[in-house]
Amino acid sequence: MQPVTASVGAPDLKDRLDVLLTYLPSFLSSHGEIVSAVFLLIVALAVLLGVSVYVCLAVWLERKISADMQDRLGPMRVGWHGVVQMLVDPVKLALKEDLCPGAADRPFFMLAPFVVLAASFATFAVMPFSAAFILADLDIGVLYVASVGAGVLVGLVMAGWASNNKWALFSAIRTIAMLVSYEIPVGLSIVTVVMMVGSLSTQKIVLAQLSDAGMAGWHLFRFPPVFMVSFLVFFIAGLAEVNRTPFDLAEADSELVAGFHTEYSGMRWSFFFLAEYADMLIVSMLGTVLYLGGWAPLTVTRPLTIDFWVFWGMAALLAWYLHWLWTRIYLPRGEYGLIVVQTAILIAIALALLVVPSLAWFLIKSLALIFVMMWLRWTLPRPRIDQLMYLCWKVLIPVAFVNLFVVGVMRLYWR
Amino acid sequence: MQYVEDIFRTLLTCAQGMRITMRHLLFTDNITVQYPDHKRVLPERFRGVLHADSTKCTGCTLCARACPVNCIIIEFEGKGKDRRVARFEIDISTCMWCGLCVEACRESAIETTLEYEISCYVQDDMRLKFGLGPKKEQLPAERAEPPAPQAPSSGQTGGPSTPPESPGGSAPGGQQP
Amino acid sequence: MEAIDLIFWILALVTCGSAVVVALSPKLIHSVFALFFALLGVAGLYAALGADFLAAAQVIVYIGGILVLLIFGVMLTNRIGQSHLPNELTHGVSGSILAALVLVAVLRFAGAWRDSGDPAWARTYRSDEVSQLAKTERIPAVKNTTMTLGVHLLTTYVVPFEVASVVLLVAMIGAASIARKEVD
Repeated sequence: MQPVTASVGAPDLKDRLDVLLTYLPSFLSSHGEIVSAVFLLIVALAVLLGVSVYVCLAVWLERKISADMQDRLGPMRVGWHGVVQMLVDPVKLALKEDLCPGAADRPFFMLAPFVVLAASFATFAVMPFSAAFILADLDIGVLYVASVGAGVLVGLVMAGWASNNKWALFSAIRTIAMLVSYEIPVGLSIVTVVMMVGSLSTQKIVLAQLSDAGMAGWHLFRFPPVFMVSFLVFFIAGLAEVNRTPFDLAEADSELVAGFHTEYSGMRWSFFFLAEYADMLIVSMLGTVLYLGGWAPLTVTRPLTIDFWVFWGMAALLAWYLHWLWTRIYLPRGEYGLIVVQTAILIAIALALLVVPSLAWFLIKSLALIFVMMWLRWTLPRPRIDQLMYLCWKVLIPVAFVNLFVVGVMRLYWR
Repeated sequence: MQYVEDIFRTLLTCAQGMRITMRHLLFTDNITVQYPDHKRVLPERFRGVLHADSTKCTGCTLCARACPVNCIIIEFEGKGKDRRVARFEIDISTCMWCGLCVEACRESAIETTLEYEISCYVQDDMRLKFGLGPKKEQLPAERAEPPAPQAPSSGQTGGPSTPPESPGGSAPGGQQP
Repeated sequence: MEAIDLIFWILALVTCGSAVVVALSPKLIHSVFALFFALLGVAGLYAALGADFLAAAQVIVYIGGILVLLIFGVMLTNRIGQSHLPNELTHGVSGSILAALVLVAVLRFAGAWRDSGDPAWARTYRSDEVSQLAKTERIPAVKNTTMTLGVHLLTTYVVPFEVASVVLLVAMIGAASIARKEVD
């Protein structure tokens, strides 16, 4: 927990959480190393717990969103509109038998889920949730994210090999081929941002985007369309990095049963699942940090700025849509519960924006990217492996290199 | 240039697809229903489970002949004017809901209904029995017969000397001497 | 015993234990996976010494690159599961003596007995000691190693840096041309 001194200059940042987190560590560390270590542990566990809760929520949301996109209902049985499903699923998984195939490589079979899970959760250490809420503001933040990702890769391959199953092995080979290739465009697009900021620290990257102009300070809108292309490359390659559906060849269920987790069950299986959704969150958060201003809030209260128009325009659009939904769909059916819940969610978001603005903005931006991932998943079919490699080596990497060159030139002459 | 064109077409078609899914997410209502609570209103000519009206049936067997999968079984008893349908069974686990039997029937005795919930616990419940007649109770008796000879036969395979009340343990017992 | 000592011992145990598994395991794939933990432990040791960039680079290059290539090679090898590695100890005595000599030489040149007491790198410092030492410049401030490294690589050591990248490029082109199919 390292309070960032530069955040004092942030524009009208009345973030209660930040105030608390800025003064608490110095207060606690005056009581000795043990106390601050315990505090750090508690915060780390809170982040882990938060991520786990997010995973449960995301699984339920994904099922509901995919159902709605396919004009289905989705989970409806457990609780109101299947909400309790997100509590029931983990319980079910915890109660399932933990199987290990007889011919499997037992020690590594048992170890692999933990490697994957530890590697993906370790990444959250450098995620800047707000000006003060960051577990470790490392100098090498972004590099750290990229390097810890290698642990996920090794864990997946370990699972694929140790299962002693041909599908799992195929999946492991595909995972390596894919992840090794797609690390390059991800790295190159990260480098463009790092060149602009001159630092690898995630917190410094966010602070570089913090300005009175709000959205106009985001890297996404720097030198248009250079950074938009960079963001696109990052997002597409990031999607491949986390094995999400247009690029889920490693666990292509129509070809490889379930890929590397074919032989897993119970909690060990759920660890892979947890890691997959945590990885999604990592890519979204990294995209938010690098291009969308991280926790930097929109200047929604100052009229006639771009942020003002964008935010209130979107709010008006949302209001119009909800009105349409209520009058056309819910009210004729008498589904008053849905109206109440949607209003409650909106009020909760508004309250979060008032009380913990930077954390709320960060989460809103990240979750928006996660929604785009889900949206893409239920839209696009899976490409063949050669198409996947074509996309990486012949499209994304050249584009990323051109981008890098352009940004280098821009950086030399314009800033 | 083909390369650049391909990239733009990829992005464009992705955007088109995303627009379609978004439209379904936001503006299209669900077409599935929560099944046991809500049921869809069926069209009038829905081809559900077959029903044979035995008061109308003349026993002409046209339906049984029309059936491509031979799921209709009709048996008779009596001769001449006493001839009557003794057994009229439709095996709906075989039926493929083609409706040819309905078209073949001259008396409109066999018809499709709107019933479609046909799951059951015993396979025999899949055989719908419409047969009339005085010896209707003969059918269950026929069914009861096959299990009866099985019990003594399994006792015989165990060995002539072993008593029939030890069903499973007879095979290892034979190896002991 | 301070927290950093505990962390050091855990990391050292992981590194050495995995290294022993790498050397003694009869199955090749076990060696490779154990190498993962050994490299991770080394990266952890770097991080504990304050060389955070080196730690991250170690993980990216050795785990993300070399180890993954090793695994890939193992997986593409036919019937690797049946092959049994002969792990008999040969030249035990002479090898041990050689290893011990090398260790002594390394420790000597690293300055283990140069002064009385521990050398600077072998001690763990309390935070107030670090700031004291940084003032007197007996140890360099380990803050922001990334920037220092970057500046040095592109100024003082720019020729070796460029030569290394050219060598890698040549190797890559060579590999591509060897792997390439002849097209008529």
